[in-house]
Amino acid sequence: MSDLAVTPQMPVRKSIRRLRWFIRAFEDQVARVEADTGNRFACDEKRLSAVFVEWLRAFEAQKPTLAEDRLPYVGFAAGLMLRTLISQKPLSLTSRPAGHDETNPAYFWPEGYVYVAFCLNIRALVLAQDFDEEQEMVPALTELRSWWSFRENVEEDDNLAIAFLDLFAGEAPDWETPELFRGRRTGEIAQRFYTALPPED
Amino acid sequence: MRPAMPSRPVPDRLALPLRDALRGVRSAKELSEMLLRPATELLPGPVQSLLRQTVHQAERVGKYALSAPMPGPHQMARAVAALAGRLPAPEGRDALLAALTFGLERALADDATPALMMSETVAALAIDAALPAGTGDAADRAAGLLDHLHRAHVVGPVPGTGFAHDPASERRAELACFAVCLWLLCERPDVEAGGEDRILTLCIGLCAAVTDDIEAVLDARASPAGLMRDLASMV
Repeated sequence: MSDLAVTPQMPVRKSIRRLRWFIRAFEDQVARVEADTGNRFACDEKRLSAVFVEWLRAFEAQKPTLAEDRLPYVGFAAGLMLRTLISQKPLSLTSRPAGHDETNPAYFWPEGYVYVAFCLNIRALVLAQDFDEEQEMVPALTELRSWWSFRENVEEDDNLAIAFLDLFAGEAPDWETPELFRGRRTGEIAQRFYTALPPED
Repeated sequence: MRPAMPSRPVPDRLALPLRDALRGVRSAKELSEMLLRPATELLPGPVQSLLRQTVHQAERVGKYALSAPMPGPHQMARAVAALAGRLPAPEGRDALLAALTFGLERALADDATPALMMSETVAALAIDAALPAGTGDAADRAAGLLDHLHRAHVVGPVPGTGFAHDPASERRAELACFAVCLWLLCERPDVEAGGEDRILTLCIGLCAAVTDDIEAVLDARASPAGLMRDLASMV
């Protein structure tokens, strides 16, 4: 996937919460995908501003207080971003190159491809800067089957974008309630609670 | 023979109403094509084309002559300091007026509805009233300025066009003022060339994206300082 070139003066986890950097980074992502694929897009900046505000409010609403939850929250926050981009639709495709390959996700769903690339790149930058972790490239990211399912499912429920981003990032998705962040401790308690339930008669 | 009168610069105070008058002429010209369009369709081709050319030319001349210039970095720094109460009112007033004029002209142009214009004279009076009365932090003072701008009707319908200042246009005027006050409130640690224009555009876009939130605060007649602080921290 096309990388990001913009380098913020502060850590990405902080600069992404500033509208001016967010918009510049997104525009940079669009330009890079355009250069790589030959696709052309029109960007509605008002909708992009709405994406930013909606995402930031969702981000703040579930922001964990425990240090141990900071790492898993990076992936969740990136998923929230993808959900918001998909629901607000700031991009629209204006042209595709002749003879493009529809089995390539970049042409199968051009706007969705940019959104996923942007969210994965932001996620990767934060993980690398703050946790010294590298994001994996997984087969699902290039499989048309996954993209077909992704597009169809998020049309019905945009919360599933959060689970699909986990899938594309090689993490275990939560398909049941992807819109709720479960920190490590909450996850452990939930695990104990459900395994402790008596078997049904 | 009587000696020639020495030429003198136009006093600042006099220049404001004159600039407003010219701004009114420009805005009326901008409206003219919109208003004339249905009629021009009925005219014969050559007359139609002549009328359009005349209107376009008048618009071009008006825009070049009257568009407020983008304030330079020093002027912007003074405007921001004046709003924040870090510069005494008499010193910061002109810089704040220049920034406000540029910002409001841009916000109203982006609105794509030429029926509204801002008055620099009224803005100067509103600033004169708001700055000495300002208390609290920069967001509180920006909210105070917004209130003065609104109460003074710094933005209104172009005189002589017959457009009424209905609730919808009043709200648009208020949103434009909100966007410009927000722009003045934003942090600008490393503004590059053209950066001010970019921050202003972002503020206008952000206000359009959160119109419901802004309207809720304005409708409740509550102080918008908290919302301004919140939004400025996002930009």
